[in-house]
Amino acid sequence: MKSKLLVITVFVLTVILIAFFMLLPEPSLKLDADKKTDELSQEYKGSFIIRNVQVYDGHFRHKKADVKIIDNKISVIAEKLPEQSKSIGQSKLPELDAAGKTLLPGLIDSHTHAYQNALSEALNFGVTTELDMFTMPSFANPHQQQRKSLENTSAADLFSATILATAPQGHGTQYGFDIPVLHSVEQIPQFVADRIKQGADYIKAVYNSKNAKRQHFPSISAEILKALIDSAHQQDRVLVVHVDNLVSAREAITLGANGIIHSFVDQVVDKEFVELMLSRKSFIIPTLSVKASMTQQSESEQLLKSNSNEPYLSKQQHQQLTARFPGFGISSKTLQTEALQNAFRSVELLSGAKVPVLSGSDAPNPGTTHGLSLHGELELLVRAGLTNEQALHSATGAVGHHFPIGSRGTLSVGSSASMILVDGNPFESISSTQKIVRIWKNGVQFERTQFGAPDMHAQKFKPGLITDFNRHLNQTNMGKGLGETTDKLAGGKSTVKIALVEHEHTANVKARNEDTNQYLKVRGELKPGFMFPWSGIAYLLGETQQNGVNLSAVNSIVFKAKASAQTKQLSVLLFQTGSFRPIQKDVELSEQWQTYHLKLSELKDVDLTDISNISFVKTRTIGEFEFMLDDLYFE
Amino acid sequence: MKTIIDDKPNLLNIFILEAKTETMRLFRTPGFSIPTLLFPIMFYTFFGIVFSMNPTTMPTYLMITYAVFGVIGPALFSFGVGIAIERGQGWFDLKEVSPMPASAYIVSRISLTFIFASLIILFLFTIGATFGDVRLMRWQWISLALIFVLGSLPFCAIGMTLGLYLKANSAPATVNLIYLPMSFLSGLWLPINVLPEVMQQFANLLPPYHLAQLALKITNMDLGFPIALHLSVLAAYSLLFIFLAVKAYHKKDKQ
Amino acid sequence: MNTPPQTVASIRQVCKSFDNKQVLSNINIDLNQAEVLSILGPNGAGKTTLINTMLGRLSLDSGEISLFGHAPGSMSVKRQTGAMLQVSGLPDMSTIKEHITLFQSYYAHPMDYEQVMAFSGLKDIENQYSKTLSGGQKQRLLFALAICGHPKLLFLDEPTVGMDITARKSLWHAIQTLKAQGTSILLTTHYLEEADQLSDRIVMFNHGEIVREGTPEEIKSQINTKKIRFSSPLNIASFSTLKTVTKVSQISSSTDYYELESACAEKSMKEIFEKQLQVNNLTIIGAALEDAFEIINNEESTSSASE
Repeated sequence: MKSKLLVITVFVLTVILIAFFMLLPEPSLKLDADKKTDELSQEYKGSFIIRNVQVYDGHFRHKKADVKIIDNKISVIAEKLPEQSKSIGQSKLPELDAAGKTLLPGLIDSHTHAYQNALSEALNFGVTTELDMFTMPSFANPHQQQRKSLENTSAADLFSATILATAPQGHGTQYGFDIPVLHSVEQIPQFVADRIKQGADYIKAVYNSKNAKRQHFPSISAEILKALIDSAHQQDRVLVVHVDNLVSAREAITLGANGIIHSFVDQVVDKEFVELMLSRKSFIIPTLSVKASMTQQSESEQLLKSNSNEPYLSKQQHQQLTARFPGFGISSKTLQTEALQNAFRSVELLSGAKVPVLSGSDAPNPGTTHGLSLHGELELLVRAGLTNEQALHSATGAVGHHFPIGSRGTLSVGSSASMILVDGNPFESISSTQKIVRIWKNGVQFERTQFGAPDMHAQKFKPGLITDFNRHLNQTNMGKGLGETTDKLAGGKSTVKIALVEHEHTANVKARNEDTNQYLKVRGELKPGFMFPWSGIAYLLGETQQNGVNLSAVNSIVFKAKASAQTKQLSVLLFQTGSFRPIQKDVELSEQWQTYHLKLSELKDVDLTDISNISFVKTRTIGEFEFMLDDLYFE
Repeated sequence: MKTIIDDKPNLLNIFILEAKTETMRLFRTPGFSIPTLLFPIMFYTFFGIVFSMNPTTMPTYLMITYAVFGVIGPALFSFGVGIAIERGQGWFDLKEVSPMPASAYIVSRISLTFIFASLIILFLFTIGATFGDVRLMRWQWISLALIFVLGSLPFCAIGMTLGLYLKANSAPATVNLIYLPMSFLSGLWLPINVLPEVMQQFANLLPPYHLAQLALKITNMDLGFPIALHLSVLAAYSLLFIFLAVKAYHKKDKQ
Repeated sequence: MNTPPQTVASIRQVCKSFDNKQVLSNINIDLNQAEVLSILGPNGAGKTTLINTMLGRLSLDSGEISLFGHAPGSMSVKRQTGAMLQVSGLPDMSTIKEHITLFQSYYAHPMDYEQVMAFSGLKDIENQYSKTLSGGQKQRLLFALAICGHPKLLFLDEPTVGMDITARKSLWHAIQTLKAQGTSILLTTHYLEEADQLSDRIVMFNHGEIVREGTPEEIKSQINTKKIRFSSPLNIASFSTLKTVTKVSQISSSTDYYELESACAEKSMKEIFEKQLQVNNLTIIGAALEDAFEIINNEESTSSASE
């Protein structure tokens, strides 16, 4: 009997203890412990209410409205929502008072080229959808998959044409990627099928009419273009065309293209063309940003310097915005101004006639960058003659009429709450779109990435021995070691083989200690494939490819080299972090060991505070090669 | 001629009865049990919550150190004073000659200490969570409770030695003279880093300091010394005092 | 049936000294089953020391003690033993019942609780806290604790100190009942009447030695002293001249009660009648143990003085 009582007591005590520990409070998940909800610092996600805000839903403007978001989707836009009453069991939704601000749908950039960090850069400026017009399927496919998920809250949604349709040696082939080109009409059905298989949401073609004044690149014939258009339409795909003159544009639209994705600077559109566009219900993506950059009238510097924008741009984006196109044979400034004015006038006429205009930046061409440049494009469109509302429409509700993007670009009931809240009134001042207060992607608040001072974290390298090749290749005195590098990274076919070889001991040189004295032998073959073949060895300086180091304290790169008989030249490449285009310096090699000093001050256009990679490669000459390296120093 | 039937009574039963009897006695002595419970709770409420120096961290920090203070008390008093008094009464001798297993005597007092410690911990946790806004992960709450309860064991050993050596009438005063200053100098009433450097060094000699540091590690509020150090000191004290207690116990034989 | 009595405890040539002072010298005692043995002696005689060695609390310098064939203090011995020691206090806040229940748990076959109550007479106050007990009640509780385990061997150290006459008598009765049930009892007392009443054998201690041992009768018979009591209108001086009378005392001053001690009562009687001293209510009483004790002690001191 006693033991039964004991068991019961123990049981009851255990239950009480468990209950006690279950009831002890844990810290709440909210990151800020402030009891007072500071509206600016409060996170709104999932379900919440925005009050007293001006709303543009992609089609209509509501001067003052309340917006309710439930479970990451737009639930209601009403002039005034009733006050929330606390019903038993339900907690009140967080409310954001956005008086004096404007709520827009997440913006759409209808013409970009997406790779690397494009989609997060876009979202960082409130661009929640990008229509890419040429990128590798390997990049595009994962992102295209992700756009289906509501969980995709840290990058823009991607639609892509994947690989463009172009002629052999035509525009698009100059980037070095190994892409299929079109020779004949017979190829078309398969080509289109392949593109669709590779995930193309629409088909892009590059066309220059043989009747055009400038024949600056090989182009597909009108026949092939027609076949592409028909094939694409059969497969339920929109077909858009890259043209850069009126003649080609007219032909393309006549043949049935859904839209042209650049404006042109050679002449202003004529009345027939406008009517043609109207009758075919075709659209135009003027990409004034890149046209301005090409005519040396880019306003990217202003965009960059603005306080609203600068902190949110990465180093690489800085570089993109300050980069310039080379002059395209239009040397005179007057001519350049005129050229851009032609484009402006065309846009004015087309939009005046209610031809659909979509907003696209053609980022990240020189002078443009993902995200920010779309805001620049809006400014340019307004300068060209669109009303503010038309400009806003071109980056939001207009796009869904022409591309299969669902409800993106609108704030319609039931659509995913991807939107931006900007300070001020873009209907009065279009640049207000850059005064971003908050960004939501799929109903989740997006924390904008801020980039600190460029070389804040870069490790500073001091002069000294990098390696004498006497130890393992990844044991360099500074940096992350050396390894093979070939153009296989870019789809090429070159090969390389590296080996550490012992110096022969001459009679005078006795090995006094255990250390071996070695040098590096680099052998291989440059094969055709990538436009700029290379093969050799790369020296990684930073922790990762993304981290450069500061070489401002270094005067020269010093190394010993010699080569076999057939190898005459060695290229030293310096890569800035994130850049694909290195600074190149060639040195002449002989069959004897020579010491080379590469003065860093002699290199142009390179930011020495952010170098990630120094490569020693053979370039240009196809064929076998062999060179040797030793004693790599910074001086 | 052997006339003994070598029958053993139910050991578990003895343990339970002994512990139960000891505990009921204590609960029936509110003059002792209530101060032992209230002291740490009151101090904590005053200095940890009402007059707390830093409302974000103090309630948690002092909840921990006062819990250490609170669990040492029952250990030192039930062993230190309890045994000394029973020796003075001659009751200890009576128990000694009875067939009570010595372990039962010790276990019952340890159980008493644990029960008291648990009550103090429960009260402190509740006050901390409710009025001090102390928020900890579940594993932290539970780990702290375990550290406190198990950490009373070295003090049971110290108490046992004291109880076997001290005279009955001076025992309560002597134990208090040890308990209170030791607790203060170990940084249980005011945070150790408020005390001057010399005193902080001195605290290394005191076991309550080490127990408190171990517990503070759970919330990352300790001074940063290695766990091994604290555990070693507590273990050393335990072994030393167990040895001394055994010695004191057998010394009686030579009377 | 002539089975020799079973020896429950045997003490052989036990010597013990403290600080170079001999407190026990060559003690030899046997305790048998169902026997009450009293140890008698003044304070400091060594009674308590002897008990403590038997309880295993003290070690021996030399000699051997064996209880139930085992060493004193071993657990198997303890489980057959109960002890009532001189205790100045006990934990206050347990009830009598709780105390007894706890002690009973130490034993494999404890006595039935009601029996314990019957023996100790505590039934009425069994739920009282020990704090509230009078001296006599406390003693009874200690007695209860000693017997509650149904021990085969019982040590009682001054068991009736502080008790009133009723309590004392009921304790004696309990002891006699226990003895009848087969318990061996070792009793220390300085109440000679108690030893006389209860004991089967008496061992007289002094200065750490056994000075006399035997049944109460044997000891008393070693002394021939008798007491003659009577009342008389005569003055005490009249009796002081009697030759055979060793001592004359007036028992009560208000009435004329006298008491004479004599080594040979018959001779003294003859003297009284020859002298024609008036005596009324005459009684002749055999020596009490008390007297024997005194005499023996005196003998001891004289004999030791003369050495």
